[in-house]
Amino acid sequence: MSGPGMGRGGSRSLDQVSVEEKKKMDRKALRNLLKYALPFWPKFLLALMLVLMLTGAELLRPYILGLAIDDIAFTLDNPAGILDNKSRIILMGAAFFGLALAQLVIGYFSAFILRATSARIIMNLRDKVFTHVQRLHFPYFDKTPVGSLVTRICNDTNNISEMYTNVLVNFFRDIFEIIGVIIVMFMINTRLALAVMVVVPLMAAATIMFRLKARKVFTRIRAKLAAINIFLSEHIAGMKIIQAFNMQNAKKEEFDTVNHEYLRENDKMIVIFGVFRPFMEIVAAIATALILWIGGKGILESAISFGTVYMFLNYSGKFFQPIMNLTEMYNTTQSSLVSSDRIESLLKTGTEENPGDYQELGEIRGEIEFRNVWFAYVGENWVLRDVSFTVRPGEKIAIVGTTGAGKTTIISLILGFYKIQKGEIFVDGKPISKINIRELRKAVGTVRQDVFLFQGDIETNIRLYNDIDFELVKKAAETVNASKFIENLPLKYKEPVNQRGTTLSEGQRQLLSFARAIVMDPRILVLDEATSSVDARTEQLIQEGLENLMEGRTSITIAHRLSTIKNADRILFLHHGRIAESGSHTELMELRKLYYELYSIQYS
Amino acid sequence: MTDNANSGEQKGNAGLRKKFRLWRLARQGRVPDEIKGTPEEKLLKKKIKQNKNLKKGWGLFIEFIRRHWVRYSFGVLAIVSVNAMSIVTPIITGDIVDMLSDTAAGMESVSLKRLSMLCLVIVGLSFAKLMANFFNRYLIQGASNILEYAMRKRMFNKLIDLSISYFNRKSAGEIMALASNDLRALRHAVGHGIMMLTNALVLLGAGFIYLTVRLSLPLTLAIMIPFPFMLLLINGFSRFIQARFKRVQETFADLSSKVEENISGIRVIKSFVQEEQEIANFRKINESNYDASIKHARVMAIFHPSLSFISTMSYLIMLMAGGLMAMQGAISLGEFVAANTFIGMLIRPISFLGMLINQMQQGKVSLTRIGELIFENPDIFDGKFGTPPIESPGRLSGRIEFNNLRFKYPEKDGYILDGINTAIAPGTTVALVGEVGSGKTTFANLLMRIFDIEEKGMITIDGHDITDIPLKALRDNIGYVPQDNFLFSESIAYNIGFSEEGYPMEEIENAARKSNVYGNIMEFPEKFDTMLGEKGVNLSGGQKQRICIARALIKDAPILILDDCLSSVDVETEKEILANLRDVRAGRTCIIISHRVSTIKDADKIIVLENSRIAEEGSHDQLVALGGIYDKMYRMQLIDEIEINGGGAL
Ligand SMILES: Nc1ncnc2c1ncn2[C@@H]1O[C@H](COP(=O)(O)OP(=O)(O)OP(=O)(O)O)[C@@H](O)[C@H]1O
Ligand SMILES: Nc1ncnc2c1ncn2[C@@H]1O[C@H](COP(=O)(O)OP(=O)(O)OP(=O)(O)O)[C@@H](O)[C@H]1O
Ligand SMILES: [Mg+2]
Ligand SMILES: [Mg+2]
Repeated sequence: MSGPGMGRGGSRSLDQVSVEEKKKMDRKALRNLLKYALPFWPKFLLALMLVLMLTGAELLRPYILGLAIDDIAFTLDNPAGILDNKSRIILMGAAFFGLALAQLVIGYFSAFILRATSARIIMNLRDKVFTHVQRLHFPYFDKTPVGSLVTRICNDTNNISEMYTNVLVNFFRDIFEIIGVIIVMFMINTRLALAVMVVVPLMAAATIMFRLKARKVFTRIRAKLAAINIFLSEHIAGMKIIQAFNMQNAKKEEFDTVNHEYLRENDKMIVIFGVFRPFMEIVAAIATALILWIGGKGILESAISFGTVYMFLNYSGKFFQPIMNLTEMYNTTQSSLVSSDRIESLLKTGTEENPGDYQELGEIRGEIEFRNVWFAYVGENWVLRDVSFTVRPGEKIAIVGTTGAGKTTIISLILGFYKIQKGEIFVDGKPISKINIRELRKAVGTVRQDVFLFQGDIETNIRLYNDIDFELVKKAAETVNASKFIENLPLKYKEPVNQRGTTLSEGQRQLLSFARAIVMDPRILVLDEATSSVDARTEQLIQEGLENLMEGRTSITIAHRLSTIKNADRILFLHHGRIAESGSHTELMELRKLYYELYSIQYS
Repeated sequence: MTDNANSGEQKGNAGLRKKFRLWRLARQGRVPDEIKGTPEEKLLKKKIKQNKNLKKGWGLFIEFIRRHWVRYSFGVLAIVSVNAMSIVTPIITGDIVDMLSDTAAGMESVSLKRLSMLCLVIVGLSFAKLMANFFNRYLIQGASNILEYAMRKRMFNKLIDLSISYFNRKSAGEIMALASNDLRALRHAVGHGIMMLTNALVLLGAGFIYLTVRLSLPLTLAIMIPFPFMLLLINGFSRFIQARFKRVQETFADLSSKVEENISGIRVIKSFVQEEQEIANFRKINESNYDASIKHARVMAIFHPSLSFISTMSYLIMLMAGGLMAMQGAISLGEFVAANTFIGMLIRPISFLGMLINQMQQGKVSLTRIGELIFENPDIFDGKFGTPPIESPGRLSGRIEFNNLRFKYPEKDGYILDGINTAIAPGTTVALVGEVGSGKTTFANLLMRIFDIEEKGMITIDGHDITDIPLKALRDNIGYVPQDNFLFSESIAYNIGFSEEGYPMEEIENAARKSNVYGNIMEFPEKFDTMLGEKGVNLSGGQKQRICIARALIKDAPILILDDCLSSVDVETEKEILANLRDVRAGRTCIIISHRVSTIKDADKIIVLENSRIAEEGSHDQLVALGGIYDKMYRMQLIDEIEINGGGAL
């Protein structure tokens, strides 16, 4: 039979993209980060201008103070002009106040623009990722842990926000400053300027080294964070089992391992960055020493004036300050790059696009045909082997078979969740690979074997977010006999349902998901063990309710209990992925083969 | 305690006053009689709890620092030395410059050797600074990493001991947000906080030393006029920052919760083509997170510039007052310049202080949120009803008695079970039947103390009150198959041998045989090592269910609870499993919950639950003879059978 064999091996690798691949993506990642920001370039430009103004204002302040000092010195020498100078001081005070006020306003606007724009970028990005995830092709979810996707959509997007609030604009400002200072330095004295430039390769080498190391560690940090979320999401869901089996201590240890790995990676980051950043200061110190030494020698030899050396000292300070800033930001940048990589790789994952030349389904009649269908989830572990059958519009089909025979798989294929390897499936005579799959799904009402409820209330769990009259919701609930327990709830249809609906009984959950399937008045009804958790009385009532409803609809029922399938027009007996027998109950019993064996057992 | 600041500004004055009163009461930690029974009471209680959690959180934090005090002392020392070296280096540079300027003026000549020496000293110092800086980062930020780790560990350890009722209230996504986003904020606050605090203190200290040496009192006082305003500003802003940051964190948790649910339910979403609607729903939450961020951005954007605006006022005062005084000769020009330098020295630490405050507020918010989980108490624990648990109950024999058992779920009205009186003899099999939602699973939950009975004495096992049996021993004595077959994304072998000690492979295989899943497993290419997806997505419904049965059987516990565990298997398999169970059941108390008569016919006793009570009780034959609910149910399934068999025979 088939082999499930994917599970964790595959899923974990999702968070461990190789370093080789990383390098390749390196430049692209930066481009991506800028791409997200591109639509907002006027805002960033404005912010940059404001930031530059702020820097300018910062430079004006010492100037005003300098003027004041000159004035005071002048007054001390010429006491006669004191009155005049007093008013000058007041004037300067006013200018100073104005400057401070301007800084306040500009400071507010630049910071706000950056933060707000960044928030918007993050919102848009998150929106984009989430939208993409909704369209991902189905098998992806089989092998991707929930926590991993949550981390990408929520945490990784968050992680790049600092890139836009702190880094982007300051990056430009710093680059401007650096370029400006370099030009000035070369204009003043080439020899000293070259001396300062000597250290640049040193910085470049350090930066490259840092980048390689930091990238690797950041990639692991993000992966470990995802691992924490994966672990949490799974174990919170399974908490009851953990407690019932007294596994708390073992699980504590397991979590400690995951948690500790995250700590270790973070510690590595501290070491790397703890060396890198101070190293840049050493480089700056070397530059200063070089200037002093060369300059000092120059002065001794009377080749350079003292003023030049003094100026250079100041400029080298101004040269290294923005470099230090950039260094400080480099951490954020690397971390953001890694996150944007992770987001982009998710965005590149294939979606279940409609084929370009798909055929309109139009009004669905409800004919389904499997023609020599072969299907395997993994490799060549065939779950369905050469399955062929046709369901005519309005026909009631039942599929029976031992567990693991592939019944649920057939349902998944009808809904287009997986691609088949061989053969073809037709809906209303059109190949399933050539139709708009969402249109088809809309026409199919399914009760899945694994029930899922959403946070909200009873009503939204039945109609979901479709525009459906409350009366119809009520009617659907009545049809499947769910109304009985709903009416007993304090708020009835408005009763809140918590996440997963854990405060309802299993049978109640199943009834709700049953109501959900019929409320949309689907052409095709697919019931995968829809009443497995329901008592006989309720099931009887449901069956009576369904009788009318099924009239004229195509229906496919999977059940183990004969009582559930007795009304079927035709029964397919699935055995090890093949259709072994098919026919009405009477026919199959007369055949006295597999079906007969199975059901004479049940009531012997 | 100040999360009302946000809504407070929108409401009228009266509302504000009320909020303030509430805030004050919350601080005092008391609930006055006059607001009992009003919605305010609930709010107040919540706030008091939050305050308590925050206080406890602080306690944890202090405790942490105390435990790591050596690390922190050295870390702080490293920061101080970095600062010291940052001050020394410019002095040396200045010396060299002075020397050079003298040389240039021809006053004296510096030797090349001395010059080289000093240059080397500068480079050497920078190396020393590298070391100090490295240690500073390694020690202080390393400690905050440890704090994050320790908090997360504590969080999970608490989480896993919390009762299931907690998880009915809190979603996985929210908890994930706490463990990632809030802990990150806390780490930043602690790591950067201490660094900034030390920096600020050192620089302020240096500034004040400078001040005492160089400046006269009146001028100093004049310059310091804006400082109290700064404190006021910080104090005023911190509430806003807190309230708004809290909103940001909350909306992030909503986001995380939504995404977690969405992905978990993606199969349903896709089947019902709800993608667009989900995107719209997500967008709403995303937007509210954005709105919260914008509001937060607004205070943050105004906070820092205002702080530096006020501090610039010191310059202004100096310029005006100092300038005039200097002109009149009241102070010297030197003093004027010195004051200028002094302010320059103070501005930086003050901006550090601002950042510090901001970080602290954010840390506080996250600490409160995390505290809500860390300081939550489990509802179910040993010795809950005051009596100490009995020591080493060993293997129970499995005599279970229910005495007037009544139960309702917390925060829900209406008793699910009411007046249940029955006894289960050891080694017998009891079947529970009843309509959907009649309380069968609840029954099992109570036996395992997943939920707890209201009073002692309602359930006894082997004569011990169930709450007197240590929780661990109780659950060790019960093998359980849940109704929703939950499996972990581990290997099949791991899932079957799910226990702390683990089981040898033979036993695992044996259990798989008994639950009739062995054949299936052996057909998988990797057999027992087959890795499952989350919740076992890569198995069929029946395969999952039978692995769950194997997981319970391997435990060899005296009490076995099977909650509707054959609902997804075909009749043939069911029959075989039942046959296997017959051996297993021998010498064990077995509670089987099912909707199918075929599963429970053989039970020693069948209990029919209806309307929160035991409606019928007895063996299959007795109940059929009784002609009540059970008989009806039996007949219903029997009619089907006759119909089918009849049809087949014809
Ligand atoms: N997502 C998946 N990935 C890999 N293997 C899978 C996946 N889903 C099912 N399988 C395997 O495919 C086979 C058929 O599974 P399917 O769910 O179709 O069985 P079924 O007939 O519905 O059984 P049941 O009656 O127990 O529900 C099983 O062996 C199962 O392990
Ligand atoms: N955690 C909970 N919190 C609140 N109410 C709950 C909780 N769990 C179950 N209930 C309610 O208690 C009642 C009994 O639930 P229970 O799960 O015991 O039913 P059941 O007999 O097992 O039903 P089923 O046959 O559907 O499994 C139901 O009405 C359900 O809504
Ligand atoms: Mg199935
Ligand atoms: Mg139940």
